[in-house]
Amino acid sequence: MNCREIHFYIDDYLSGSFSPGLREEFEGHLQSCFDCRNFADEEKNLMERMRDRAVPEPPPGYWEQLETRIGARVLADEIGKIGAEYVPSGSRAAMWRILVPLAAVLVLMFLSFSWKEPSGGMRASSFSPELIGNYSVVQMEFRADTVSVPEIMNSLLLTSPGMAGYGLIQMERLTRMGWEEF
Amino acid sequence: MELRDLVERFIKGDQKAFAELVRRYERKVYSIAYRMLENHLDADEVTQETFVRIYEKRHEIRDTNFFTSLILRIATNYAIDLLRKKQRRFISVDDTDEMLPTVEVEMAALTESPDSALLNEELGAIIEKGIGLLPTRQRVTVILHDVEGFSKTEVAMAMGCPEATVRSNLHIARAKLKKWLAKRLK
Repeated sequence: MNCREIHFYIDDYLSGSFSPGLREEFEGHLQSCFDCRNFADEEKNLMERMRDRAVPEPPPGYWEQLETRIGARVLADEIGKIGAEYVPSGSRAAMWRILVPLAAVLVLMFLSFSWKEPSGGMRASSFSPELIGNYSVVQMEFRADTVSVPEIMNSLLLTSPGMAGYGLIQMERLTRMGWEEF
Repeated sequence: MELRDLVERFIKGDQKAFAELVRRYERKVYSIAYRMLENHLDADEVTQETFVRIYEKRHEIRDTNFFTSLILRIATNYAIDLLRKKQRRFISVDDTDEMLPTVEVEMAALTESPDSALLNEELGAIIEKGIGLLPTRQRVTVILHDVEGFSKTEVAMAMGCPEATVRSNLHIARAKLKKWLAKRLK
């Protein structure tokens, strides 16, 4: 073994990970080389002193508090994930933004074609605009005063299919509240 | 319970196994963080964040060795981020004088004196300060390997570099520390 190898393998020697044969070879060089022996002693001393330095003990009760805080954080993350399953975000949200209006449009189309107008006709003016909320398209259609429910639905499909889901909800709400009157 | 069993149970979502792993590793993580950041509050933040992140990444853990190195990686990376955020000034120990011949002789003389305990304490403090002045990656390598006793393989995995780099960092860092020490002891 030469001086260069002594410098390279000093860690392995000090950590005791050498095989007996290599160890003997390493120590043989140290015995014959003052510089390497000195180097090995310095390394050993330095490493021993570095490992001797203890970190100051944290305040009393710290470890228990830490474990509690970590447990609470993990639990909060789990709850957050469960919530995220119901509140879509990212790519899932994008999918829902397409699927929900599409489904709503299909339902509206089905209702529109299967609708049978009650005897005496159902006038849009029969519905109070306050019941409709802020949905301007629906409000506008209802205020026209001459439009029937199937026509409103068709109009919704044509004017704002992206909002048709909301329109459907409002329509169901109106139907639930005002159906008996017709 | 064996570490391997604990890790396997933890990967499957066992909360008790996770709590036990926290108890087994919290002091080690805190110690690394404290040595890097030199204060309790930052060390606490690193420790807490490390375990929350390891929980989030549990599905990526392949085996016990990977678990240990992942903990080290998360802890050291977070600590380095904190260091950078604080924009602490590092005074390089590169600008020290030529290597003095025998640090070992000086150290031995100190430890043999009547006030050896006090002097040892001073010596330790000087080394600690020297470690604090090393460039970040050398500092992390020395803390993980020489101070905390992790293997070169574990340190390499934690730092995402080859073992040869770890070995090289250690040689350079120790040479700087010895220079620093010699200069201070003179």
